[in-house]
Amino acid sequence: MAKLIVMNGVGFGYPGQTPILSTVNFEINEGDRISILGPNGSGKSTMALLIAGLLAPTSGEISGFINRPSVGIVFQNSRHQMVGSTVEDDLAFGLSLMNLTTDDLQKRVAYFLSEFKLASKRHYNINQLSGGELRRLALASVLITEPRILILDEPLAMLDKEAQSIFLNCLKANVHPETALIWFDHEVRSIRHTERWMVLSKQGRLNPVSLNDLDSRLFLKSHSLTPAPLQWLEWEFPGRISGAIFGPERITFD
Amino acid sequence: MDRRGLHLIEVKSLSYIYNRGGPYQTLALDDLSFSIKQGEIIGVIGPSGSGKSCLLRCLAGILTPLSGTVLFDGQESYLPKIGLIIQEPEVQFFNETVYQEIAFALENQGLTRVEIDETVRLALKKTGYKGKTSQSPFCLSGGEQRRIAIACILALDPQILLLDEPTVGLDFDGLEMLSQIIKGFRSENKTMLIVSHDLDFLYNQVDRYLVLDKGRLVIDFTKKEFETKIEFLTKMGLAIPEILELKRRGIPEDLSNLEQIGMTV
Repeated sequence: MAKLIVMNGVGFGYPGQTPILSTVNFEINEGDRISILGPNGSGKSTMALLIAGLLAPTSGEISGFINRPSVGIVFQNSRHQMVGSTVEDDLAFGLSLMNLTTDDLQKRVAYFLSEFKLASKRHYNINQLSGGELRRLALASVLITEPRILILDEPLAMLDKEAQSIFLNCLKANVHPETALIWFDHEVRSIRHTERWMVLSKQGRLNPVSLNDLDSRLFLKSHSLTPAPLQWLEWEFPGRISGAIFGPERITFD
Repeated sequence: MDRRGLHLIEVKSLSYIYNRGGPYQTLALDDLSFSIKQGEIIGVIGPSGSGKSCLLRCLAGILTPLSGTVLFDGQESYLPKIGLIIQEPEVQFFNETVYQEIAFALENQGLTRVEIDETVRLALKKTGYKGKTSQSPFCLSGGEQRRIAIACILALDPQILLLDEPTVGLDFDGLEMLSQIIKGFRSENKTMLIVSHDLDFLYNQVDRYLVLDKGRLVIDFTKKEFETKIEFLTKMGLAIPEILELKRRGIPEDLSNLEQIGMTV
């Protein structure tokens, strides 16, 4: 798998303030599925902006391979990234910068509207969408441009369970296997959707972690990470219950 | 006077329409009636677009209902101190520093500098904010911004607190902080309405649930009755707490007293 981005000793801080990130070493390869977990204020959003090239590091360097790969971000607040006034406009905006024929553009917009269950809202003003629809539109508008790296910043926040499951289905069905997916969250339950896990500490360092770490009460407490809803079960009955970290579907009783 | 047991809030036939008269007019609240006793901690749940946030705004007096009334202590003219924490806290900031943000309302109340300093310090302590007060609230992370928004309201010592999706973006410490604030309100016999889709969190915190759908109050039940409402809630597309989901699937019998061990993590 080809390397997409390498961060080497990257640090970031605003002038006169304590640095948010210090010496982050990180590599993104094609097809990666990575969760980056961290408590409030640990620099998750800052790191997402650095990867996307929207912030420049104050120390260290970020090198892009393959002509600086395209990066798409779904922000915590989807409203911040809307550029079109209607659903269709927003979806078409990224494509309109890509020299496609009108026919191609319309076909792709129609395909994404239907894939993301937004076809009936095609001409709606974005202010009329529910939170779930808005988040799906943000994801669709990013994926339609086929980014090599997809960054999700707490993508399930503020969505009810039904909206979460529609979002996840759309995500799974439409992310290209070679696209690298980086999922930022403070909730351990997000690891259900990724294959490699890392933790950003409050000191702004990034370290890989194992499933055992993330299943430990002490570890989660010391890193101020939010456990999955049923993880306390495993802690109350050590050795008898496992899989709570992946939700009720995967729990097993010994 | 001990007001325990009396109705603090009475909502009668409340209706509200967004974009009234426009092409996209939406009936957000439809003939809603219920009452709340002093000291109750209430969870307001329902699918997206069911009118939850609109209800909080009407209670806070930010929106004027199209019809119906909201009575506090049985009077129309009396408005107690109500604090509303909105869904997107960054929208409410307009000051240059965290300190100024929290002090703003206090200054308007005519408090002295010493009183303001102390109130700001206490409010920040309650929310567990560890950053600098000279920092711009706009440069904070999502979770920190929520802490500051909560501190702004706590500083005003509201009698009724309305929270709109307060758990969003909060980490483990943040959720503990929120639990402590709810506990504090409970011990002071103050009233709270919490709108949230996070039933795993609500299940541990609230005494009673109001369920809205398409602007109507479809069901009103206590925590004890939760298990009997699971089917109804599931049909509405609402997720039930994972612990109840597990029970429904038949967790081993010897573990069936799980709830008694205390679910808080």
